[in-house]
Amino acid sequence: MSEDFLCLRNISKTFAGVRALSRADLSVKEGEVHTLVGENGCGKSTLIKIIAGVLQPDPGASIAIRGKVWKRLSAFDSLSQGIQVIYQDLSLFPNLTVAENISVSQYIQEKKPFVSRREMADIAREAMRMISVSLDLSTTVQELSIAKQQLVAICRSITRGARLIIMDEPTSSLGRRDVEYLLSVIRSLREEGITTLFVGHKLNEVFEIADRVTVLRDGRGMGTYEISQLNAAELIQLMTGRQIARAQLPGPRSEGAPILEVKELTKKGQFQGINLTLRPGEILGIAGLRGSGRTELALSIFGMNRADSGEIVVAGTPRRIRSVQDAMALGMGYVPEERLVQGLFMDHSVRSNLIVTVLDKLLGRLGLLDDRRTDGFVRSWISELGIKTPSADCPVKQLSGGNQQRVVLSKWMERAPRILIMDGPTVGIDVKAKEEIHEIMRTLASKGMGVIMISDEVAEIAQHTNRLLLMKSGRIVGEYETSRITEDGLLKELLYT
Amino acid sequence: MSDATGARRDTAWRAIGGRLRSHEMYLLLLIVAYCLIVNGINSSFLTMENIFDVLKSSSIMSTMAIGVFVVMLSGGMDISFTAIATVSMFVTVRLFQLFTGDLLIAFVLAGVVGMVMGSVNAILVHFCRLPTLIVTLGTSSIFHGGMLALARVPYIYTVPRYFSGFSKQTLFSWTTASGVTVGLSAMTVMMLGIALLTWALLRYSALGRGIYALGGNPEAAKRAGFNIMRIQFFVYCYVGLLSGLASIQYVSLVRHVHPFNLMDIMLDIIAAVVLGGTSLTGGRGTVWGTLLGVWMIYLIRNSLVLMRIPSYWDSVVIGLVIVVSTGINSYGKILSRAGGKAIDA
Repeated sequence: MSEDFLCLRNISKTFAGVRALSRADLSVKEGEVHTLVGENGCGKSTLIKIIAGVLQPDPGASIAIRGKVWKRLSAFDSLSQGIQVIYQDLSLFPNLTVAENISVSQYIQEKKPFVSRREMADIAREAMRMISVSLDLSTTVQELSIAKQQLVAICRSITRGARLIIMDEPTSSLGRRDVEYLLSVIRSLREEGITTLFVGHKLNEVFEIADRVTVLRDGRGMGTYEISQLNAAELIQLMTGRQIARAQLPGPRSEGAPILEVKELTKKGQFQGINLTLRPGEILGIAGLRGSGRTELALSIFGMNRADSGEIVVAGTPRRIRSVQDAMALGMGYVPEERLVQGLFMDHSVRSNLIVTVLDKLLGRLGLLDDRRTDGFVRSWISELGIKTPSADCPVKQLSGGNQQRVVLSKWMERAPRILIMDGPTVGIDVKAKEEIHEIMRTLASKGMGVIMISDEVAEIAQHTNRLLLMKSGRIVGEYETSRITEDGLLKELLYT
Repeated sequence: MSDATGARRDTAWRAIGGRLRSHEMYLLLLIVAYCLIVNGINSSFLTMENIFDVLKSSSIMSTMAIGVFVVMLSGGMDISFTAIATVSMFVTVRLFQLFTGDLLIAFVLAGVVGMVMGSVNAILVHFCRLPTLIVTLGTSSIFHGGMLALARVPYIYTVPRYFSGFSKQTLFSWTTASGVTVGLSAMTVMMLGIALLTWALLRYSALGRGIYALGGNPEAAKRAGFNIMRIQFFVYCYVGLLSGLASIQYVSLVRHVHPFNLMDIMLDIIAAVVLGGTSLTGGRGTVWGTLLGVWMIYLIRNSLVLMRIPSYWDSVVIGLVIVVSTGINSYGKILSRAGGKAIDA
């Protein structure tokens, strides 16, 4: 058959002692649609960045493009070989028109001092013709839906004579119909002879579009397969692998009055008719992919995103939660998904971050902060949660991901909340730190706290919750006792949209 | 074929329709309405003579505002431009006391001095990755303070005659029925020339598109391969150049050099640019809007007194106009976004 366009061998990459990739291989044939799959954190993005020349692999790796071996592949080399990456953020200019966004790369490449609107439009029309789409050239990109913005990004990538287009999880923020359309665009790219490397984790899309699939797990390549040789179960097995057996949490709790009940909670465009019950001592999982409305729901319960209708009952009493202050007064805590932006003051010290939610408890006589009490408080939390920091005055941004997460946790735990919502608590931290976070969660629950854990990591959510709700497109579509389901089964439910 | 032309005409009409509903259009209507009100109270306001005079004396502000507009378009901010203008003005006129020269050399010299100071800003912004507001806050103090410290007498009261000649030159002058000679001042022509040049540069040059791109999404601009350093240097040198040119216009109008007068118009100019529809975060704005913004602010500053309103109220009215006009704009956007993203079934 056709030749290898791209051939990567023995790719490893270590970040500050953490192995993101370990001797992974990938070869992509000219003209095929190749998919790269794996669970979150398996090293997919790192591999893409290496192909794009943005990151350099550890020594011992070999990279060949169309048979030519590159000792060191720079971003410029990668581009000049016709490799285009469409990152998740799309890198478009929201304030400029569709025509200009599509033609900008070609203009820069040709180093023309002046631009002509007619020529821009011609470049854009030619690119749109290749993938048979049509967009209004004179609208600005900010007015377009995400799906159309994606098409703009694809059009732009083919203007520079792209031979390989890499799309990083292009469907993660798209609805089903837009996904279909995107897949048809990828097919027309194939007809134009352009190779596509499609990075994703939604299995039905993989089976729909791919010629071949490469699986990554924990930074290791699990092999490349013709899509016709695999079925869904086998692919899931490859992605998740055998998991180390761990103590499974017991089934759902029936004793104790619910501390939180959500009834028919609805917010237009985000989630609809959500019902859930949380009892003390229970860890309730909400499994959902990005865009399923999981985070919006959590924010609504926590008073940061007012719902249109429905009821929230805390400890038996219906409550109106209009602000974070209301939620905190009712004994709720929230550890946000993007802890780096939402949960911490990155430039401030560990000390400041620890005390910010409890300032009122640390006041001395004149209503000023009591330094001695603050010091004692900060010390006790650093030791209790095992936060590894050179000193309490060290800025939080210098800590590792796991330690940052601990700082966020402790901020809320000092409030001794009865309900703790953790949104993606282990995103972006290493395995050991994950285990510790899970341990902390279990300890909290055993002390009678109700914990809601939101995640799309199947292994985590299946093992560390008592009960599990599955959320898709803004609705809860299933409820499971986690002791009775398998990880593979759950992954299948989660990924088949 | 005819289909295609039809479609093109359709888009053209829609573009014009969009322009009519634009921020600039509202601002123009606001200016017209304001002029009519002032004229209703004091009928000596809307005369040819006065209109040309407003155009002339506001062109110093306009020239600087165009420079500030370009900086803000790139996503930056410059608050050192009045200091740059003051220093260029002083240096140039001081040198011309020692050597003979002419007006053209004065403009060139002041422009070059302004660009040198602008490039200091650019170096700090680009290489030290400092926030632009902080950099220019600092350099503003350094430039202006340095001048006050180094020049023993920072006032110059005898300015060579050819300076003032410039402000008196007019093009297409004619005498009105009432016997007053009016004409388009050379200052206005120069300012309009700069505005036109800037507009063309932003619209047709790769550099200009780079400025829009940088303001719209700096990360994407870097990834797309724009030469960010060149853009930053251009932007800060350009505002320096225009500040230098404006300072010579100012000398020619007032015929003396004063170390503080120009410093006072800094906030008015930034207000004018914002009022003109330029986004503080960059990427959005037009030259035309900037000019309208300047004229609005200038009119309020100089005509409330014609309605016998004490000048203390100038600032209050300017503040109200800014808050209300930008507020309506952004509230409209909030409303249009309130629909939220729909769930795809």
